[in-house]
Amino acid sequence: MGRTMILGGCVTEMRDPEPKNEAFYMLPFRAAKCVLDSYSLDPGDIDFVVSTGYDIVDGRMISNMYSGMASGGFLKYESRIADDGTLALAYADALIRSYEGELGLVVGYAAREVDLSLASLQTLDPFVYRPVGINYIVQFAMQASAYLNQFRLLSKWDELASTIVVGDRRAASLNPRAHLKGGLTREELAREDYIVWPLRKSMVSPMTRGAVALLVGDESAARQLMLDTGVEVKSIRWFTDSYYFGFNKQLTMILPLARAAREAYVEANVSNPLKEIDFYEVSDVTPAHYMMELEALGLSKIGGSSRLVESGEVGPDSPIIVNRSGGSLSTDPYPAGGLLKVYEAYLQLTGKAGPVQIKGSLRRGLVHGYSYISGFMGQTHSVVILEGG
Amino acid sequence: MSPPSKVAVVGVGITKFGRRLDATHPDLAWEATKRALETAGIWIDDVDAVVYGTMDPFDGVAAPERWDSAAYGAGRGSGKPIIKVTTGGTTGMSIALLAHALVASGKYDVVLATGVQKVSENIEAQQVLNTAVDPLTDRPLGIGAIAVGAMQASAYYFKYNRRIEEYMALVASKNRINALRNPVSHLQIRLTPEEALMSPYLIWPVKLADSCPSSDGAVSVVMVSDRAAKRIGNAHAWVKAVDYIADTYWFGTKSDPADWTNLALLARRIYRKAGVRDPYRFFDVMELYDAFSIQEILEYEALNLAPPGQGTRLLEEGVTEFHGQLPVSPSGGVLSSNPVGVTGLWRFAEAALQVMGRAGEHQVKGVQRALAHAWGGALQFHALAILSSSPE
Repeated sequence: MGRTMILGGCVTEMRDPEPKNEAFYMLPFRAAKCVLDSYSLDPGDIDFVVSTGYDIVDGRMISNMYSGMASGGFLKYESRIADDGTLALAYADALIRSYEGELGLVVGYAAREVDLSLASLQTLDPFVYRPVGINYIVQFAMQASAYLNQFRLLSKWDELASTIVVGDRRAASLNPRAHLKGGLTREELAREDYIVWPLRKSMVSPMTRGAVALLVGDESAARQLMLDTGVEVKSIRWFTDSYYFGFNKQLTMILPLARAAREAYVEANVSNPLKEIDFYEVSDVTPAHYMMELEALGLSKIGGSSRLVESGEVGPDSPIIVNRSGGSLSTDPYPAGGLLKVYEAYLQLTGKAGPVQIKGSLRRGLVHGYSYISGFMGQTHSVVILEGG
Repeated sequence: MSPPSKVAVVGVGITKFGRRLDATHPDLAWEATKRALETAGIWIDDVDAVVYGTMDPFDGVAAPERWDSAAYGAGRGSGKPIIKVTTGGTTGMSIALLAHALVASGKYDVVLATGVQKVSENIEAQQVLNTAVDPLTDRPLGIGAIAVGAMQASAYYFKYNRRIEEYMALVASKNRINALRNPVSHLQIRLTPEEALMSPYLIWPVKLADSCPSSDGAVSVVMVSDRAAKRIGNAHAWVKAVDYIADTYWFGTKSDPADWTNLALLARRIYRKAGVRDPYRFFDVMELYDAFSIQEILEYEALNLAPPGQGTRLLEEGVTEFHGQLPVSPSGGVLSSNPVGVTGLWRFAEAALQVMGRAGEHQVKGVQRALAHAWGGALQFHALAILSSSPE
């Protein structure tokens, strides 16, 4: 099978959802056009376009009628998934490996035409969960409180959460591509009101408007167009767990992420992630998720990641480098969040990350994608392992 | 680099289409999935990954793949890889195309492709479809799918044939009569061309008889790699080629609606890929996306079965009837059942059943090669798949 390479990419400005001063499809247009312009490509060079987007978030049915064209899909093989953008990358990977296309664009955007809390309620069934009103933030809070209770972390929560949130924001302050840059102290966080206990406002990822486009292809396409070979997608794995409680669904352990990570490690020949992966970009939609995600990725035993946070062993500048970009707590253009992290990992592996570039030679990075708007507690998690040349 | 895997369809499950007030969304998902797994002779644990599709806004539940996920084994262990695709009217075929890519790429050996749609959950499908068009320029006009079909028919009337309504009636009658042989069909009516001509206009020149119904239903298809095909399935339909094209939304920048040029472009592309020189002789049966009867005539021409403006000849000569030389939509087609986001996968599944020799009462004799088609968006998306009884 062919090898899938990330050959480049572009991001638009990541910013607050307001003002909405242009049509939603201008976001993917600007990101895709930037890629074509940056790499001196003609639209005719592109074989396919795969995007990610949600009708309900875009406020109109079949929104890819507009965004597909705007993403460069005119007269191309074009498709759209409605999950985190890392799964659009999985689609592109399958097209390249099955020789359906050599060069393509993977595009994700977050226009925020609709409030995500309302959209997430609409993804719940009308009989059991929706009438209770448990939108995605309430679901996050349920997971967070269960985690804190189960592992007796309630007394340490404010300290742990502020370490993670302030750490992300500090990293984001150096990242020109981030949305919320710095500007938050531990004291300020402690004074914030709870949205839903135990989550204060800055403990939930922000609503970010922006777009990402990645140029992907196989090695022969890269050679033909005289592009740098970029970084290889060594593995993409994802799992969706149960919608209902009672089917092995866990509040405090992210089983689908653990399974995806295990399979990705095998596929990428990683036997010890702590030694063989140089950095991680995780979808830390809350500080509690940050800790659960480290555990699911095998960086700590279950319930033990708080010790890594307390000791400073994990973080943007720590020995275990997590969310050098600033993470989801600083920038969250859902459903393009996973793609943005893939782009950040690509920049790290090619030495182009600018002020947030990690020192030293980097070989492998891991990205975690989380489709959290859909269904109950999101259910779908993905792992992408990238390897530099 | 190793070549891509060949991909075979080994199981098909199709629910009864219609107003399915007896079933919830997950019920329909399970009904189709169970049948597909049974025909493949496997169980849900044998499935490596699931590709799911629907047009959410019809159903009153966004992202119903999560609610339905227990039907695919997501409640067992840590779940399954499930990925959601949604591309408008082509959604069903987009499901098939992604499932095909996941198997052909070597990523998975056994993939379940599933679509579920419950249009009866909304009050009026055309009002829902109206939310798809541009909110500034087109939505206030009340445009829905019928207006788009009428635009094609009136353009054809003025450009090619002032008797087009008579030919549309032939298509409407042919497919409704075909549907009588298919127990899953939503509409089961013996419609004559004369009755079709007498049905009331919805938007001139499209009449009620020229239009598809709004249906609930689900379809599941099991696709496997050539390696897995050695141990799974008694009958196989091999996917010879697939392709997709997306055109612009804006009508002012598209070609004349009397000609489906974006479909013609895609047809040339896939014919080249599959080595099809004469589609008329190459294919034994076609399952086309005829949401409106005019569209089947446009599709004949775009698929190079007839020159532009001459598609009606195939109807005059009975070529595309059930016992004709090249039967089109022996299942009853979209004019008889339209679970919108699933319909493309149903075209794919019916084409597979014909190749497998498992179409039952509507089996066409001696089918070796079949073409499946779906369209979507503002006449802008098309997907095609070629299925064959031989892996070569």
